[in-house]
Amino acid sequence: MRIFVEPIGIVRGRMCPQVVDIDGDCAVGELIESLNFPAKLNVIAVTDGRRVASNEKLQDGATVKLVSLALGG
Amino acid sequence: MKGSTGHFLYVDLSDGLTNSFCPPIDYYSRFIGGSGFAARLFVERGNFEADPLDPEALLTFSLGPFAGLNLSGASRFSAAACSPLTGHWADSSCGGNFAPELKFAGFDGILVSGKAKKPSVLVISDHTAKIETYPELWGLGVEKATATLKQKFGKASKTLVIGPAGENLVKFACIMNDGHSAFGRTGLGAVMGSKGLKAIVVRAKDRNFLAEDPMACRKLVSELNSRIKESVTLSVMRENGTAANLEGGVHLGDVPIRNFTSNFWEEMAEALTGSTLSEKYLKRRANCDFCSVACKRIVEITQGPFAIPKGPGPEYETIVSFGSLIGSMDLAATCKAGRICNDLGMDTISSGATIAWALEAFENGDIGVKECDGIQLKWGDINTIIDHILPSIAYKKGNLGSLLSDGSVAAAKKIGPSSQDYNVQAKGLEAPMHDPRGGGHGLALTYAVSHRGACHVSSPMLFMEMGACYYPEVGFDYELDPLSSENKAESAVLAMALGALENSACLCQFADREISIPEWVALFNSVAGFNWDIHDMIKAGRRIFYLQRLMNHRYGLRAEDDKISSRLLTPAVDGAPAGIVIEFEKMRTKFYNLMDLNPETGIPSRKTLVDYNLEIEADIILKG
Ligand code: SF4
Repeated sequence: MRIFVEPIGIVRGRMCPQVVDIDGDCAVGELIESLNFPAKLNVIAVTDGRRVASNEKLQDGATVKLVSLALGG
Repeated sequence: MKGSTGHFLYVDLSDGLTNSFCPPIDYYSRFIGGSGFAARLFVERGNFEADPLDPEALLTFSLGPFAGLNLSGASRFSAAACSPLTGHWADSSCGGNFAPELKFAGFDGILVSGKAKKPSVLVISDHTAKIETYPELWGLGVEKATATLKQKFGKASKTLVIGPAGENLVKFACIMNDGHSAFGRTGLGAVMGSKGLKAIVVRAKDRNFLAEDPMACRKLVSELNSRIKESVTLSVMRENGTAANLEGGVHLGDVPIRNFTSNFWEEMAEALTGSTLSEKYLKRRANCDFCSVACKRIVEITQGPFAIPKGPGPEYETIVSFGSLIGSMDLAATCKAGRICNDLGMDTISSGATIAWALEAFENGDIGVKECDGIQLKWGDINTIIDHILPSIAYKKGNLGSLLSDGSVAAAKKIGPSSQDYNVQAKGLEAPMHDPRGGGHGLALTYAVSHRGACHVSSPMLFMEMGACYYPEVGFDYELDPLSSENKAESAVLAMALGALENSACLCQFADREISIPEWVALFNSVAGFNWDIHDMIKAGRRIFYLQRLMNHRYGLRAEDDKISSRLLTPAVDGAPAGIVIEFEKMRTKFYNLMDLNPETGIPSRKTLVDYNLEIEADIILKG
């Protein structure tokens, strides 16, 4: 399965947009965990302005946008 | 009392007199400094009946115990008074460089009363103060007035200055420190203007800071400074400013768009975010005294309609207030609008929010070209805002200037009930640039119960909901879902106590996220010798929260005033929070129960007041 990962905001400072190849089933939360962000960044996935639940299964060819909850401003 | 000087400066502008006094020593451990201390001093010396712009009104500047300590995030201080914007007790917090200098000059704060016969400047240096008449400064913008003062009193002197908006009593006028940092919220610049006080200048020779336990203090400060410097999130903020994650915020539905009518605008996200500001306009980073985070921006725009010379750049709140909130995604324009507000001396949040209200009022036909001096108001028309609306407000020019200069709540009251539906505020204070529907449901609660109104710095709730802090030592070890109302009342109980501590200790809410609860206690003990445990510290925070509620009760606020605008409780139509309901009443009822607040009066029971050693204060305030 091939997933397009697109970092947004401060997550972009930690990784470039990339394609991730995964064997078998994978949930959104597992994908994020495998990318090893510092816990403090509190990274979640969104799509079309909607938050994706961490147990949601990824589909082949999906684009996952990653956003950090970390800063107030 | 170490960490503090033990002296406040009292200034009576009517008589032209200044003297210093020593507040009772127990105030320091009971009310700490900053916001809490200012409140307690008002109970002792203020007049609840005085109009906020009356000479008798008391304006207080109050430092925390850590001002002057070489700790990142410790150089903030509070200004407090009855707010001309909201009509009740309020305070505002400012970073920059004034607080340490005032402490080094020998004072923990300044109380200003009366009205000067001629425009004046208060000049403070090593344990002394004098009032100098300075009519030629009156009418000058903040930038020019600050430069003039620096020329006269030396480059190293530190300044607090009001602009034309403060002089003209615009109800959301701010007070600027060295032209860059601001006491932005609640209109305290108008209080200063009503007193004929254009500026305060301070200069200290010695730079000594005395801690109770210097060894322990030095060790702790060095550990904390290294951690703050290496922090992942704060290094991001150093790199790209407080708007570093604006783009992320858009995808979460936290960033308000067109007066909070939308929660998602993808193209705007990248256009306004902090990294774009760095790439396009950043010249260098700047910091409050002693802070290694350096989240402040110095920008320059060399070309185009929004060209501005090198100088202070916008932070997150300003970018959103003059960006997505008014329907624009022009980053250069937000820089220019922020610069103009600074120079006129107006709060960027209330300015942007009041203008956003006017844009919607025009769209709805509640105001027309007559009220707008022949101008058509349009979403995104930042040129009109910069060229016409901002100066009109500051100088109260024309119909539009006089309509908007008292803030959006007063304007909506004049225009009529239908326009109040899209007033986005709590207790008369325009909401900051975090929408609780996406930023976190707990924010809706803390906006509502905060003594100053809709304010995101009255508590660290936003950070707690975003998972940026855990405080297991005080039972906060669960992960919160920003888009749910679950566990928010319980979290708000802790958040309001921590917020009161933060605003009274005058610690920066960005930098202090790296400080654990036991370290906060150790900091208070090693600097001020409070000899606290965690329980004592949290109790002090809650005591301050209760004191400020009592004061607002005296100003006429009741439980029914702990609410926020219906717009913020109406489910979002788009973006991450679309369709999700904030269970506001459920959260509020639970918060009231947990805090022992009476569901009608909004204040705690006598038993709680006794438990928190507030009987004397309650008697003065309530029986007054
Ligand atoms: S983090 Fe920014 S606002 Fe806070 S003290 Fe440091 S420079 Fe000032």
